[in-house]
Amino acid sequence: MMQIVVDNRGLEPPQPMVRILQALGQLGPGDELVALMDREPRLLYAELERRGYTWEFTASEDGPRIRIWREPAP
Amino acid sequence: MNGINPSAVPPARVVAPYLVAAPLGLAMAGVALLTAPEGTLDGPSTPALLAATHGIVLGWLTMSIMGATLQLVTSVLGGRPPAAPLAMSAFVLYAAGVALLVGAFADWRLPLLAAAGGLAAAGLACYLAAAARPLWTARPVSPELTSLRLAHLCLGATVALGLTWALALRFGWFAVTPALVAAHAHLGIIGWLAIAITGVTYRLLPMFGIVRGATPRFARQLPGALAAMAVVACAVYPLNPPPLARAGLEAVLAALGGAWLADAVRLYRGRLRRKPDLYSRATAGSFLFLGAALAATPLAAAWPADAPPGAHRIVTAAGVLVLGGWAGMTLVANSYKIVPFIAWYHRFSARAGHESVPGTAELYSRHIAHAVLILVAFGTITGAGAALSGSLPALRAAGAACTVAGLFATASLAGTFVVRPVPGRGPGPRPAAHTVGT
Repeated sequence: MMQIVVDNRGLEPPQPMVRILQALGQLGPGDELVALMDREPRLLYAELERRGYTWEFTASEDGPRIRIWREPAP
Repeated sequence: MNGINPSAVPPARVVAPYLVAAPLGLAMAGVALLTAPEGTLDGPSTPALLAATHGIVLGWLTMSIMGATLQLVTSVLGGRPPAAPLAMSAFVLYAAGVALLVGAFADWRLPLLAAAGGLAAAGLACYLAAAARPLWTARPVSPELTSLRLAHLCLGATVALGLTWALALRFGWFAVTPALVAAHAHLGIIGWLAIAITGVTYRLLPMFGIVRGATPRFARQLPGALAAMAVVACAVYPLNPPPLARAGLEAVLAALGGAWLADAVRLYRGRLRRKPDLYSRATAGSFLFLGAALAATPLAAAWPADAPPGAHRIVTAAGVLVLGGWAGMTLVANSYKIVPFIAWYHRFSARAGHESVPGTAELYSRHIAHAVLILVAFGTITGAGAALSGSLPALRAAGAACTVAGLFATASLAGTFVVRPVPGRGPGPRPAAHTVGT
C-alpha cells in the first residue's frame, strides 16, 4: 500500500482542489492520498463522488486533513 | 465520509447573475451623479443623491452580498443549497425593482417610486425565502454565520422601513423627515452592510490572503454589538436627539468599527501572500477609507448645522467614504476572487486532474480589474471632496468614474464565464505530492 501526501496549506482556491485531483491519478488499488489543508474542501466532494472515490475529512489539532481512497470493487 | 451530494453546490445560474449584474448598480448610480442638477449638494436627501445611494447600496453592494451569501453559505459554511427557481425569480424581481427605483428617485416620480419599491421588496422577500434554507441549515454556527443571519434580518427590516417611507411619500401618510431617513440609513448601513461585511471578512480575509498565526479578538462579540447598536440608532434617531447624544451614539458605532478594523488589520498583516495584488491593494484601501469615515461620523453628528461647511456635507462625505470607499473597495477585492472561482469551478473542475486547466487569474484581465479599483477609489475621493466643497463638477466627475467602473466590472466578471483563458497569468507550479510509504 502506498500513501501519497499532498501539502495544500497556504494555497488559495482552486489550487488545493487541482493538486488533489492531479495526485489521484497516481493512486493504485489499495493506495490512499492524504492532503493537508487549511480548511474543509467542501467543493471537492462533488468531484470525488463523481470520480468514484471515498474520503474522510478530519479537523485535528495538527490541522485539517482529508484522506481519499477508492473502495475495492465488490 | 461521503455524504455530500454533488448537487449541493449551487448552480452558476443561481449565484452568477447577482454577482455579475451587481456593478450595474454602481453604473446607474454614476449616471445619476453625472446628470445631477444644480442644488444636488444642498442636502443629504436630494433626488440625485438618493438615486445614487440606492443604486450603490441596493444595486451594487446588496446584490453582490446576496450572490456571495448563496455561494459562501452553501459551499464554505455547509448550508443546504437554496431552491434554484426561487433564487432566480428573486433576482429578476429585485434587479428590475432596483433599476426602476433608481430612476424614480432621480426623476422624483413618487408613483413610480412606490411601485418600484414594492417590486424590489417582493424580490427581496423571495431572496430571503431562498437564502433562509442555506442560512439556517449551515453547521457549525460560526461568528460568520451569525453575522450573516443577523444581517439578513436587518436587511428585511431596512427594506420594510424604506418601502413604508416610499408609500408615505406617495400617499401622504406622514412626513418623511430627515430623522426618519437617518433611522432607515443606520439600519441599512450598520445592521445590513456593516454586519455582513465585517462578519464575512473574518472568513474571507484568511482564505484569500492566506493568513497564518493571526487571531481576531472581537469576532464573536461584534455581530451582536453591531446589531444592538443598529436597533438603538434606528429607534433613537426618529426622536430627534440633541447633537451631543447623536455624537455619543456615533462614537460608540465608530468604536465598534475601530475594533473590527484592528482585527482586520491584524489578519491582513499576518498574511503569507506578501506580493501586492488586486486583493491586497483593494483591502488596504478599504481600511484607509473606513478609518477616515470612522473619524468623520461622530464629528458630523456633533457639527453645528450652521457652521461651514455644514453638518449635512460632512454626513454626506462620511457616507461616501463608508459606502464607496470601505464597502465598495471590499467588494472589488472579493468579487475578483469569488466570481472567477465560481466560473472556474463550473467550467474546469471536472477536467482538473485529467488535463491541464487554467487558474482563476487567467479568466480575467488584471488591467481591467485594477482599472475598476482605481476608478472606485477616484470616485470615492472625488465624491467625498464634492460633498465637502459643494462642487457639482467634482460630483459629476465622481459619477463618470462610477459609471465606467460599473460597466468595466460587469463586463470583466461576466467574461470569466465565457472568455477563453489567457495562459501565463496564474501562479507558478509547486511540487504537488510526495510518497511516504510503500
